[in-house]
Amino acid sequence: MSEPQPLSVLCELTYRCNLRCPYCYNPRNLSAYRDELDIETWTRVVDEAADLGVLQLHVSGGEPTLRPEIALGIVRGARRHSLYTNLITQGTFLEDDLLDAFIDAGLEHIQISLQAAEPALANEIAGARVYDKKMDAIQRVLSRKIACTLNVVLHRTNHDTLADTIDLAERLGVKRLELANTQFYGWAYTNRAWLMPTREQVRSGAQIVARAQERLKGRMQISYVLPDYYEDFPKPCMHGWASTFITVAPNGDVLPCPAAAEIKTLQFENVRSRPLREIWESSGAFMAYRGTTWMREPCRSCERREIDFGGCRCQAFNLLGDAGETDPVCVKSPLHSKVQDALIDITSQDFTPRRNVTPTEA
Amino acid sequence: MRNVSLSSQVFQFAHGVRLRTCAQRRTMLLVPEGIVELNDTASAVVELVDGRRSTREIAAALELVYDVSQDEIEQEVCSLCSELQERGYLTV
Repeated sequence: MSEPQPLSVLCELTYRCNLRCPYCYNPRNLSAYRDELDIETWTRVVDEAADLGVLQLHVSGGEPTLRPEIALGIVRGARRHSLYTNLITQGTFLEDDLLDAFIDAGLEHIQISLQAAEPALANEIAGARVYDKKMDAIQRVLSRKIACTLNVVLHRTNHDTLADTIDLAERLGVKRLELANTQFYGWAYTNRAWLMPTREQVRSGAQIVARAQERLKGRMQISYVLPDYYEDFPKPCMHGWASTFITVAPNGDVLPCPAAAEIKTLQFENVRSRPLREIWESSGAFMAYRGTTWMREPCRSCERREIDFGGCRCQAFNLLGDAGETDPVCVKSPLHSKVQDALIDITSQDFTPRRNVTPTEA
Repeated sequence: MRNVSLSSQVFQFAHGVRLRTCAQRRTMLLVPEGIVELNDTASAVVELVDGRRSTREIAAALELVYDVSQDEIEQEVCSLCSELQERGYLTV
């Protein structure tokens, strides 16, 4: 295994959002993150990331454009170091002026979300009547000279409309479409029984996507992310814990992955009190599952240990209460039945909307 | 056999794609969904993609550096550029 070298930093500016999507992976205890980093600290984080050899910054949240000056400041700071910047937004605040300011600041890619192709369904999932506003934003981004990916999170309620989503993206002239099944963290874990697609949906979805990929070759890139509960081997989460990726949460906590705060047995250090390099190189949370020496059986002697790195630590913690276990998605896990049990109970008609926090500019 | 129509294509980077040379001369292609590390051959080719040079001109430039025939190198340049085009990183 090569030396860990951070390449990407996910900058989570705030966990506030005006939408209430039940699949949000943000933490459920949002009130713990009210003390958000200021622009001086974020600028320092960008400088420290560049010094560490990071190449790419993802500006996300919550909804990052609820803090437009900070989002712009990060993009400008990144450009000084020639870092690549990507904005991950739901688009409801992305008016012409703000979009142009981002492009002038040097932003290189925008990922914009859509809940579903059909307006009523999309609004129901978002928990707000924002479909028209989001479509305006998507078209606005597509009319500019900037790379754009349309992201649609899939789950049982919108999975059967996959073909409509692809058609809509084609009509809009989208060049990159990401169709990713829900990953079960944060609010999505709470709503797992409502979100989980059926095996049949996943099977037919994969066929629809494969046909569209063939038909749209050279015009639209379509990626389809399977729900890992239906797979035999776990996802190579983060390409290994603390190997290339850093998340900075809104309060300055530094995490090896965006869901890591769910692991209650870990303590996270904060950019307010320690330089990013020291946290990366020696903090307990980063060292805990870095490399392969932490592994137990069946991972320890598995020929796949440097292919999937034991899967996802957060999933092991959520499902088994121990982040050091093999991800139970793996068929080799003695606790694989925990994942299969979750697939039996997928009849829930109800979900808990992500708790709404009134947007106020910091 | 040489594919003439392919050899005369002019590629450029798609929006949101750029090259970055890092420590130890590693060449990375920065792309919307992440970072692609290029091997020596690929980076030699991609460094010459500028929206003006054709793949044939790129091959001719590389022939001076590498000890291989123009036909062979042209094949290599074309297949690499087509692959990167298929992944959405280069456009014609």
